[in-house]
Formats: sequence, C-alpha cells, structure tokens
Amino acid sequence: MKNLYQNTIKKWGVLLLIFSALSCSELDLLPESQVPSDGFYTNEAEIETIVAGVYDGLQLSYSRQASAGGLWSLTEVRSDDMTILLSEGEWGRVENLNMLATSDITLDFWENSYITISRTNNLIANLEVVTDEGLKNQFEGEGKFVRALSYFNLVRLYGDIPLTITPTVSSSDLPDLTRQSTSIIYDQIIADLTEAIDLLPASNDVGRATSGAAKGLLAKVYVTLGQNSLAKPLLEDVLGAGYTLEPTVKDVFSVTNESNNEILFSVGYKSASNGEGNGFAYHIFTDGIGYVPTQEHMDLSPAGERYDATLAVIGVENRTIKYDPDYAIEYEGDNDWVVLRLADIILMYAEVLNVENGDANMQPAIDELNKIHAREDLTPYTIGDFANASELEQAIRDERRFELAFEGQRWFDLQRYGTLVSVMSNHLGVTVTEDDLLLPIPQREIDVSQGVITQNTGY
Amino acid sequence: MNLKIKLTVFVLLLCNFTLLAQDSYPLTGVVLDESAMPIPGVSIVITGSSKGTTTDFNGKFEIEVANGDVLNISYIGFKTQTITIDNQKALNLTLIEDTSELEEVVIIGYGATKKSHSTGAVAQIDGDKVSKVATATAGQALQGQLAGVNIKTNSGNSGEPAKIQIRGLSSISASNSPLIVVDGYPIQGDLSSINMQDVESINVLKDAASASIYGSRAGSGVILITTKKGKTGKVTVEYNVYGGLKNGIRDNLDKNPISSSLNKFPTLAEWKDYVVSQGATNLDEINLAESFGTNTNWYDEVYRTGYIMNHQLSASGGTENVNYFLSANYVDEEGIMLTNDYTKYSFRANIDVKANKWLELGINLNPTYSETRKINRENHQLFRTAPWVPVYHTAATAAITGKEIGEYAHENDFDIGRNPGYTGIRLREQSDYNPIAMLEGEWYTTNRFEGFANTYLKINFSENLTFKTSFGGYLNQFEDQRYLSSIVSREGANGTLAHHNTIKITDWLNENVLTYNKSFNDKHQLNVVAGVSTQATSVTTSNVSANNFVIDYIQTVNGGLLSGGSSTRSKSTLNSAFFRVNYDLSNKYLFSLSSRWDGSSRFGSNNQYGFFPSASFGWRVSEEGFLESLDIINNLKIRTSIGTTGNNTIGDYSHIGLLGITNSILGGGATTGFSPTNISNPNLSWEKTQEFNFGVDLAILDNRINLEFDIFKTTTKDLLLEVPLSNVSGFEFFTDNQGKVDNRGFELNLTTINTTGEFFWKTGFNLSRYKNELVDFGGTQRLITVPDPKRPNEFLTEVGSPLVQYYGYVSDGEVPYGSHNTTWPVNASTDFVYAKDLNDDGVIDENDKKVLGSPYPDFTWGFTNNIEYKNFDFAVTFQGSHGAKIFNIDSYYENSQYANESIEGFNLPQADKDRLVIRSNSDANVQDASYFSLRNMTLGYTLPSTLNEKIGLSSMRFYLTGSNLIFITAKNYTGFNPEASTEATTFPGTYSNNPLVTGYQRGAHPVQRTVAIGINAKF
Repeated sequence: MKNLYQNTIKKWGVLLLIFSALSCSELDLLPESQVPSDGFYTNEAEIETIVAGVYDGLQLSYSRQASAGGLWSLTEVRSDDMTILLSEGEWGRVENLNMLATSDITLDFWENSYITISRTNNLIANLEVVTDEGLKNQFEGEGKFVRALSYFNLVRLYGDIPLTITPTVSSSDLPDLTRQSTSIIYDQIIADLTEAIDLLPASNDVGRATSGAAKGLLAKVYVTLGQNSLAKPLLEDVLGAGYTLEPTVKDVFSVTNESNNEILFSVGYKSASNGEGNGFAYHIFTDGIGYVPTQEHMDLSPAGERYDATLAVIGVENRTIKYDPDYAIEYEGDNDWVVLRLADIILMYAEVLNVENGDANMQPAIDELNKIHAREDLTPYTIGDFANASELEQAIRDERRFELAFEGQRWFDLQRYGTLVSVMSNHLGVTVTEDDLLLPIPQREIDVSQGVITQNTGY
Repeated sequence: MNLKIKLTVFVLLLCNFTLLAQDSYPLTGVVLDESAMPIPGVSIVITGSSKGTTTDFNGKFEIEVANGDVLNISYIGFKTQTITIDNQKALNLTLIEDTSELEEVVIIGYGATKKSHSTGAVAQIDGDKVSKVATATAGQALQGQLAGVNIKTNSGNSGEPAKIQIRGLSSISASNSPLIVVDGYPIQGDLSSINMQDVESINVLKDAASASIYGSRAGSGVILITTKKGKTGKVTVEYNVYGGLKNGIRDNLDKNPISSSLNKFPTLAEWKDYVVSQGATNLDEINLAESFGTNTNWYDEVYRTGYIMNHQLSASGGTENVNYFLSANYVDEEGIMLTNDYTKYSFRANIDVKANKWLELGINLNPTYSETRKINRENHQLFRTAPWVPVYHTAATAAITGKEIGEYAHENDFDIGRNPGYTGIRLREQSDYNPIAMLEGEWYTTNRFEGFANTYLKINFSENLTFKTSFGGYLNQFEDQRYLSSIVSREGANGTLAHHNTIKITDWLNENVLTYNKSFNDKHQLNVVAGVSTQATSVTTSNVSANNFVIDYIQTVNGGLLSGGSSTRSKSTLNSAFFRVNYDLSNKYLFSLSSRWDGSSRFGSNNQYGFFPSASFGWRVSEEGFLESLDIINNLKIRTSIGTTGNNTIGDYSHIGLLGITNSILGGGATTGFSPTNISNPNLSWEKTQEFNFGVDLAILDNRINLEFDIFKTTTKDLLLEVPLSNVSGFEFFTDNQGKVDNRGFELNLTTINTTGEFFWKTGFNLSRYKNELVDFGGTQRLITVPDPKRPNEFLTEVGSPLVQYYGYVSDGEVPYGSHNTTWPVNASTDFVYAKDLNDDGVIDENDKKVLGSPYPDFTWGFTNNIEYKNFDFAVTFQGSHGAKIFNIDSYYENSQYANESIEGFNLPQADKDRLVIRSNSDANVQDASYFSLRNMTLGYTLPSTLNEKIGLSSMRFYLTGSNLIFITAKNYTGFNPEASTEATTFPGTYSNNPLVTGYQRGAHPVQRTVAIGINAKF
C-alpha cells in the first residue's frame, strides 16, 4: 500500500515537472505589426521608406485626414477670401483671428509640422547606408527641401520658433526648445534649400521634390524676405527649366491630370488608398464646418472661364469648385495639394520685374502678368491700363488672389505685402493688430517646456 | 531524580495512549440540516489528533473513537459542534445554519480563509443577492453593495459593461480597471459576459496586501468571481424567468435651460409670445414655421418603453464522486431608444470529479454569445432638431419643400441651399438630420463570442499537502459592423460609409499550485500556498472600411469603394511565481506574508521582472482573556497591512523604439513609408502601488451588529506615464516610469440584524470616501487639455491637486435681450457670458480663470435592507454619490445650436464686449453630479412547502423587482445621467478617451428604470 502510494507520487511528480516546464513563456517578444527601429536603416530600400514617411508628414501638415484643421484653415479661413458656414466656438475664432492658445487647431499644425521636421532630421542622419551616390544625394535633398518647407510655413505663422536639425533618439537628448529669431530660422531655410538645389534631380516622381521645386521655393523665401535680387535669377532658372502652363486652371486641378507640367511641387493625396485621402475637399462642401468663399471674393473675381472653374453658387451658398466636388468624399478627398506651380512663379517674376523696372519699363512685367491673366478668356492687359508701377503692382496682386485662390497663398501674400493689418481690419470690420496675425503658440507646448517656449504677445 | 520523573511520565503517557487505543470502537452517525436533509462533506475530526473523516453522500459517517474523545463537527455555513464521546454507538446530529458573518468564507486568490481570520480589506457579496436584480449586466446589480467599489453605468446602450473602480484613481496612462478573475482565471475581458445567475460569490480584493498575490496586474484591485458548483445530494433543477419593462428617466427634461428665459423647451407659440413681449417685430420665420402646425417632441419620438426578458435553466447536483452545475441562459433586451437591441446566450458547465482518495479533476466551460444593435448617436446629436420639423413630411411641409409626404423631414429641407425645391424663407439653423432618420439610417451592430475553458487536476499527497495544476484558454472575439446610409450622411453617397472590424483575443494560462495546511498543537495554524503560473495573450485585429455607397441595399464593405484595410497582431506574456504564508497563533494573532514575482514581455530587458511583496497582521482582541468576559463583544479584530502591487496595462511593445506605417502618395500611387513612432526605453518597468491599510472589525450583541472600518493610503509611483514631450522633438509622448499619485480614504461597512425570528430584518450601510492627489507629473507642473476646440473648455491637471479639475471663468450674467438677435429661431442665450473679473484688474484674461470643481465625489454610500416575513422576502438598495461635479456640455449644444453669433455683431459697448467669454469656458456648464437613488427593490413570495408537494415542485418563488425607481439628481444638474461621463482607459486619446478629461458629459442617455416580474421554480 505504502509502496503503491509512493510510486504514484513518483509518476505524478514527473507530470508535475512537465507542467512546471510549461509554466514559462518567452518574455523577449518583438512586435509583429511594427518594426523595431533598432536594426532598421540598413539598406537603400529601407531608407526609401523613411523618405516616403517624410512626405507623409507633409500630408499631415497640409490637411489632416480626420479633422478640419491643417494649413488650409490657418491660411485660407483666416484670410479675406474664405469664411466658415457654421462658425461655432473655436472655428469662429480662427476666422476672427482670436484663436485660443489651448486650441487644437494651432496644436495640430505645430505638432504635424515638427513631426515632419523630425522625420527629415531622422532621414538626413541615416543616409550613410545608401551606396548609390546619386540616390543618397536625392534623399538628402528631399529631406532638406521638406524641412525647409515646414520651417517656412511655421515661421510665417508663428514668428520665432524652436529650431532642431538633429533627430531625437532618446529621452535624454531632447532638442533645445528656446525660440529662435526668424532670421536664424530663415538662415536655416535658405541653407537647406541652397543645398537641396544641388542635391536634387531635375525631375522626380510626382509628389517628390526636384531642383526646380527647391529653386522655386527658395525664390519665394527671398521674395518673402524682400530680397528680390536673389530671387530673380532663381525665378529665371525655373522659367527656363521646362515647366509649361496648362491651357486652363481646371486642367491644373483635374484629379486625372495631377502629374501636369505646371506643378513644381504638390503633396499627394488619393482616395480609396487606405487612408491617403485629403480632409480639405470634404470640408469645402460639407455644411458641418463648410469653408466657403467670401462674398467679396466672389464679387471681385473677374468673370470668365477661370471664375467658372473656381467659383460657383450651389443652392444659396458660395462654394469653390477648384477641388473636384465629385471627389469630396469624407476624409477621402482625391485632389493633391498644390504647393508651388508655374503660375505662382510667373506672377512672382512679374512682381520682381515690376519693382526692378519701376514706372519706366512696365512692359516686361505686363508680359509676364498676361501669361496668366490671358491664359483663358480674359482680355490681356496693355501698358495703357496702368498709370504707374504701383497700379501694375496692384494688378499683379489681384491676379495672384484670383489665380491662386484657395491654394493657401493669400494670407502669406498679404503678410509679405505688409497689408495684412489693413486688409483684415477692413474684412472683419474690427481693428486688427499685429498681435492678431501670428498664431498663438500651443499652450501645451508652453506647459510641457515649463515655460522655455514663450507665448506670442497678445495671447 | 528529574530524569526519573520524566521517564515515568513518559511511560505513563505511553501506557495511557495504548490503553485508549485499545478502547477505541467504531462510531457511526448521520448529519442533517434543519430541514432534515443530509449534509454531505461535513468534516468530523477528533480534536488534538489528525484523525478525521467526512460525511458521505447521504450524510453518513463512520469513525473510530474512544471514550473521552472530543469530536469537532464542522461545515462551512453551519455552526461548529463539539461532542464528547461517552460510549455512544451512533450519533444523529443536526447542524444549525450560521448566519453570522464571521463564519463566512472569504476568497482571497489561490485559496480561501474565514472572514474572522482575514487580515486584508476584502469586500464580498453573495451571488444570490446580485442575481435578483433584473439586468443583463452585472454592474447595476452591484451598485451600492460594496464599500470602496465605485460602479458607474454610463451608457444608454443595452449590454454595455459598467465602469468599475476600486479605491480611487492611481494611474494616468495605464488602466485603472481592476483585474477580473473568474474561477481562478484572470480574463482579458469585462463583467459583461458574466451571467450573474451563475455566480456563487464576488470578492473584491481592495488593499494591496490582499491583491499582491496577483502582483503586477493588481494595482487597481482584483475582483474574484466564483461560479456555482454542484452540491452532493439530490439533483436540483431550477428555472428562473423574468420579464419587465424599461424606461428612460427624463424627469430632468424640464430643467434643461434650452431657453434661459423660458426655462424649458418652448413651443413656437410660447416663443412668439416671448419675443413679442420683448419688442421683436420681424416674425416671418416664426409665422412660417407655425403655419406647418407641427410641434414634435423629439424625446417622445426617440425614447420608447423597452423590455428585458431573461430565461435561465440550470441543473446541479452530484454523487459522491461527481458534482456538476449546468446552466443555459438567454437574455433579450429592447433598449429604451429606438433601434437599440441586445441578445445574449450563455452556457455553463462546471464539473468536478473526485476520482479517488488522492485525485480530483474538473472542468469549467462557459461559452457566451451576444449581439447588439447599438445607438451610435448621443443625445446632443439627436435633440438639436427644432420642434417645428415633423418626423415625416406632412402635406403642409411637403408642399413648401417639394418632398414627398411621408419622407423623413430634416431641417436641411427648409433651406434652398440644401434643398433646391424649397420655396420658403430659410428656416434651417443646423445641419444634423432628423433624429429618427439618424437612428434608422445607421446600422451599428456588434457581436461578441467569448469562450472560456479551464481544467484542473488536483492531487492530495496527504491530508495536508495538495497540488493543483490547471490549464485553460479564453477566447474573446469581437466584431463590429457599421453602415451609414445615404439617408443620414451629410453629403449623400459621398458621406456613406461602412466598416467591419474584428478583434480577437486568445489567451491561455497554466498554473501550478502547492497548498500545505497544518495545525500544530491546536495552537499553530499554518497555511502555505506556493505556485508558478504562465499566461500568454495574443491579440489580432482586422478592419476594412469603404465609402461612397451608391445604393443603400448592400450594407457590407463590398458594396462601396474600399477606403481602408489593416490587420495587426501583437502578443504579450507573463511568467509568475507566487507564495503566501498564513499563520494563526492561538486563533488570536494572524500573520500573512505573500509575494509574487512577475516577468512581463511588456517591459524593457533591464526591468522585466518585478517583485510584489506584502505583509499583514491581524489581532483578534476579542479572543484575549481580558475581553472574553465581555459578552457584548463577539468579535473585535484589528488588522493592518502593507503591500505592493503593480500595473502593466500599457501597449505590448512600448519599451521598444518602433517605426510605424506612414505611407504617402508618390508618383501617383501609394508608397510604403515608415517613420519613428516612439522612443525606446529599455528601463521601462512596472507602475508600483504601495498601500497601507488599517482596519477594525467589530461584532457585538450576539453578532447582530457588525462593523468594518478601513482607512488606507495608497502611493502609486513610477507611473507608466506617457510623459508629455514638446512636439519639437517629433514625439508627443514618451513612455516612462515617472510621476506619483496619492490616494487616501476610508470605507465603512455596517451590517445589523435588526430583528430575528419570524420577522427577519437585516440592514447594511456602507460609506466610502477617497481623495486623490497628483504628486509628480513627470516634471510637468500643469497641463491643460481642451477636448473639443469647437466648444472649448479646459481640464486642468496640476501637481498638488486631484488628477483632473475643471478650469475656466466664473460667469457673471447673460448678455441682455436686445443686444443680439433672438427673434429667430426658437432661441436661447448666446454663445457668450460675462466673465467675473476675479482679480479686479479691469481686464478679463487668463488670470481670471479658476478651478471650478473636480469629477470625484466627496463620498459615496449604499444602504441595503433585507426583510423576510413568513413566505415573503423584500430587499431594497439605496445608493448615492455626493460632491462630484460634472462638465455637462449638453445644454450648450441645445442653446448654441442657433446662437451662431460673434461678439462683434452684438449691440453692446466695447467695454461690455471685452467682458464676454465663450460660455463653454466658464462655470455655466459645471454642474453638481450628486444623486440619490433607489437602485434596486425586490419583493418575493415563496409558495408554502405544503403546496409545492402538490404541484411537484421543491420550491417556487414569485417576485417583483424594480431598478432606479427613485433617482434624484442635484438641483442644478440638467442632464439625464450624472454618472455618465467620459472615462478613458488609455492616454493620450481623443476627448472621449483621455483620462485627463474625466467628467466630460456630452449627450448622455438617460438612467434606465426597470420593473420586472419573475418566477423562480426548483424541481
């Protein structure tokens, strides 16, 4: 009896051991649906995906999928060209230039821009594994182009901002958050773009940076800084680089013609592509928030084919139809966001020529202006239309307003003309001050930095 | 000499022993309960020896005894008897049921202990009590029953689980939900799948010392659910059926300040009278709307009387070798809102086999399937449509809108901009759809299959030592499908969408536990538990979505254009070893030491293992000589404990620096992209909670008054915090062990038996209070979170204060009538209120904001009464919460839907305009969330046993039960459910899923009132 009992225990003892062995699972698990960054960045193909991630950052900054924010609302809606149908709460504040520092709208743009910048920093720091020298240069150029574009948008919207050009890889090497003066930011933008011009190829896939795009953007930076003499040769380079105007504005924005030769650089969006659609198209046509052209814009825009391709009254609401309404699917818009196109370059060139030549020699600028103005059915301007260069300047500005309408240009144009305060005071019917023009630094960033990042005045 | 004496004594003793042994004889007997039914399994032990036996299936036993032996006859739930042997040859014993709480058994995880010997803070409730409430989910039945356990029902959808929180809030980024353990198996699910009618008892381990045996997952407490087992004896077949009606409590409707001036939702006629009295002259819109002759009460259209129907059939019983409990349950519920339905089927088989003297084995099986059609709209979306809009177009509205009579009518139809066929002046003021169309035009269904299977093998090596190994699996498969039809998309086909998401959680667990029980010399009682365990969980998700459905016929993803698709897989593992020693000295001094080592795959290689020790001590003062003489005191126990628990509820790979998918469109097509999504942290480790608990248990007056009192202080440090980083770094957060939260509070539980005998009346009262304080927030001093930029309001998280506080301006009056357009539509106040200049500096700015309250109650309480009189039984639970504030944005929606004005347009002096702030950023929406409720009430009648025999039943009970028969909210609360607020489990998240915006109420559905009748028959 006793033996039997002991034997049994022995048998079970073995089983017990088996079970105990089961009682151990592997603890060092690696993710299955994400990639560990440790051990990545080993070859060209992997770096290529990092480049695509950089462009994804631009998609976020220009129009976040799931929300109505993005550069669109911060430029168009705040300008005198657009208004909001249902301006409840914070949206009314965007329109009326009195956003709160705690607003998600300012935070989202800040966040997405800096995420994009950090991705470019990460790309630039991990290029040594790319063996093909040409490709390595291209990737570096793309990184620097996107970084410059992101800083250019940030500096124009927020003024002084923190500057970081190296990636954050651990919590112990967090970037310096001190706000740097706009001139330091612009130095970085110019340095990046100057390098990018040399690094980038002349042609590239649609949606990717080229040397032409970098030149065009750098020219725009110089024009913004009032350094026309530096802008002019770059503009001329671009004009001679083989870009051509499309026959109509409608063609430029047709979703079936997005690789057209007028575009220097655009941010790609596509519907039915697993979350790659844009958010702005829907918000133009929905009543939820509904970004619509102002009556003033409708009234002033010259009638003609361009007007008909850009503006319409649907029901009783003013609408822009520049972005194809058929593709205005909720969060799934198909239109790319055009950042820079030849028409913009030509009009900047007209502007530069006009300032340079003055009253004495207006014809060269008028010729450039007419390339755009008379592209479709509008009558070309003649020298007799302008008493002096400042009248011509106004015509060029108006042309920019209606040609480049709803492309995120108006606000920045008014800003560099120095007329934002007067135009916006007039538009809103209240006294707008310089303080209202810059966006509030997101309160979260001030709190998290423990005050190292300071607020803009007036907030 | 000395030696001699000793030897003699020894010899004498030996002789004595031998003599006694020679005198032993077999004693037989039977043990019955008060109704003369045999009790199997009763333990009969000869005091001071290891000899003992248990009664068989028929309550019979046989044991070798000798004269002078003292038999100790004990069985759980009955009073222990002692019999001194004096030549009896047969014994017929009747055990008396013990109603004293002290004899109750407390389940403590990997074991049980008598309540009188428990040293931790454990709350418990019988399954019988909770299964009496007519509700499909457990939460509501538990409300008010357990001190320190805060249960909130915050969804109007049928079948949604309640939110449970034990002793406050300790974690920010990680989960604050307690670990749920069903029959020893920690499940990756919630209480919604538990069928309360299968539950034997629920035990809640509140203090860290009790919970630490579950180590790294016990930081928010542990809920142990024990399901029923068959009892040896006659087969019992039980059928329980109830059916009842449900209604939403809308008493607060008249309090909604839709018009602050009229103080209730005005009819057009009332509105007209009001604006005319204020001097308005342009009444075109009002006159037109009035001409339709409609006055729709949207609440009446959306809400309905729902029902609940429950059938439960169970069979339980057992022989000497096999015990079983089998059940099948069906619940059918129709929600209180149109289109909301819920159905659940669940089955259970608990089988325990005693193979022989040393081997036991068993299995628990519990498949559950449920299906819900959900309401995907909240009240604030449903009730914005004006009352002049009919549900379906009438002749009058069809004529002016060009729509068909009988079509859904929307406000949009009354605007030429949205409806080219409209011929009137624009009446539309908001773009949401007719609520009925919104509900009927969207299909949101979820179904869930949960399968639970656990087997065990138990070897009794000796009477003292047992080994138990268990192996089980748990599957939770969740599927949700949504289709938004063109009827209710804002942009026709462009706004239609469908999605199909599935989440599958597969989990397996192996546990091996040794238990050693021994008493020495009647003085030392030792219980040792040691074991190892391993658990692995994998989660797979898949989702596909499509939009642009041209026709509404196909509602599955294939009918539209594919817009998204993804699937993911992740895994986590946990290896553990645990150990506990309970030692009782002389039944007076109780010591308990326990610890668990957990190794988790979720943590960095430098910190994969965590150690969670605890110690507790109890002193049964009433067993001391100096108190024994005091008859009034039956029990007095002082207990104190200190322990450590952990929290590992973060993402599976948070310690690894990761790249996520970030595709972009390059060259006209989607291109695979990767970008860094988080920073690696090899040091990432557990969140650690240390808790000190001090408690007193007191029973007096023949155990008729029982008092339990606990105070605790909990410090949670090294929080698994998503430490906010400046976005300049490219990362929003960094997962690290930073931060510290303190919680302190007390719990009181008083049970009294007021009368005994024919009229039996027992009451229970519990009260709990806790206070939390953020001590360290990873270096950040304060963080303001604004959940909704459209209606901005601020939630402040600040070191030195409770985790979440409302923050903003103090309102100082409304904009006067006449200074803005209030003629049309059926209006309200404006978006703006005057702000109080708190610092008197003449300027309204940031410095005039203050803390406006916090979402945490000052105290919560429950009061229960159980009365039995003859064949009647009556139970009632009152429950309440006091002092919490809620940020209720609903009235703002109802108010401001029309008041779409800017300050600039107001006819006010600039100085007045400068004092205006947006209403949502003021205290105008901060309301008192206190409430008093009659949660549950049940009246039952059991047929007299004489009658039962005639109809062939063993018992039959009829009952009438009601929930929320009284529900009173605070005076200034204008919503439908003061408990219904966002309560997130992950951080960071959106407005609805961010723990730092706790207390945000938006569109809460009403509290539900249920009245049901039922029959419980036993065969």
